[in-house]
Amino acid sequence: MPFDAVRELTEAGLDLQVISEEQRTIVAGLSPEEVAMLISIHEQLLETDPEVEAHIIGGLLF
Amino acid sequence: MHLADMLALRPVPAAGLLMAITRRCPLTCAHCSTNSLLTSEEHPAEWFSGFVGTIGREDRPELIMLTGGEPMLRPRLVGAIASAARGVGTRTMVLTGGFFAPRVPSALEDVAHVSVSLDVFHQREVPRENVFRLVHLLAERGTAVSFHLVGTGPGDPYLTELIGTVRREFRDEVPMLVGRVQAAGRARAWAPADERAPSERPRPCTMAAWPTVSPDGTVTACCNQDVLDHRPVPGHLRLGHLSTDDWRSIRTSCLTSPLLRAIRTGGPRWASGRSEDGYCGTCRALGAEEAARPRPAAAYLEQQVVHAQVGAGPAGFMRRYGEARFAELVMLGRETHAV
Repeated sequence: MPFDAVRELTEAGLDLQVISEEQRTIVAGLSPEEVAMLISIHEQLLETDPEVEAHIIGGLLF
Repeated sequence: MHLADMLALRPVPAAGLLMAITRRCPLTCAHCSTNSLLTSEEHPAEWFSGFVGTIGREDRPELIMLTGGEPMLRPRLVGAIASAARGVGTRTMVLTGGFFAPRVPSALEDVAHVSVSLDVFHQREVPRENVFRLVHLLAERGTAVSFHLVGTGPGDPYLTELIGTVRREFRDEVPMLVGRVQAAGRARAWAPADERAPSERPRPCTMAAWPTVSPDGTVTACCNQDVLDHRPVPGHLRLGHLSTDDWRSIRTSCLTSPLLRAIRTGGPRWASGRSEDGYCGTCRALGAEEAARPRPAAAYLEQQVVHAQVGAGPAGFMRRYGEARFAELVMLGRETHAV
């Protein structure tokens, strides 16, 4: 089965209902690596105890 | 402006501006990440006030955060920045150690939010009761307030006691941002280095969203302490200098650099295909000539990742960058102190 970015993202639970036709065209052109990146980040943002990278950000956290 | 509303903006590129307006501080905390002393570097106030004066209403940041060192060592500058920022619709937040507590300086009049650092190290320098009195006085006059707390980990007994005391003292109305002491500045000599193995997963760098002004006037794309402290700044992380650049040019560089956009989207390893010494180490190792991998959908990808981070909310941000166990404490008082 050929790679279908829209299907992959939809099956991963990313909401594509609100995007415009122009954006849908962009999404359809995403590479498998880019789709995997988006899915991974969405999964990480749902984790209650995510991995934390070792940023040294001192007193400027935000 | 509630702490949670400020954190909600943190993933949005150029929605905020961080300014360390001095490296000086009257306190000598053992964990100081900026290694500040009363004799540390300080540069002309006009650099900082002049730069804020270039901000226009149409492309303003929503928030300017003033820190240091101790920003309240320059009260006239704090007041001038807050007043000018307010004039274009930008709000100002001050992060202070509260050496002046419990007195409330008039320079805080136009400041929308005051956050006070409180931990076992600060408490040796400024009595806890004075800090509490200061926060009560600020809250009574309508200034939004919060605490910046750090500990040695989620099981730190001092931290647990302090959080419980703050919750009772302020009836769960004052939010807390809880982090961990990091091996930077004076803490580098004693705090354990973070030895967690780098993740192979792509990870957006939220810290590259807001331009950061160092005490020497250099403007960088991120707030990593090593980037702020070491010269030269890696080319892709240097946005300019207060003496030569205005807000518009800094903002444009922040928003349009393909490499910065890629770092904000999937992190430095994903952006470059390289993997060096950890997450930030990989980023700092990238050269000025390094180009992000060409991606026709770069803008869309960044937009989606920013949108997802905003959707995760302020507590989601703290789970990734602070002490996850205490992430929800940034929401205290949000119901009664909304924007």
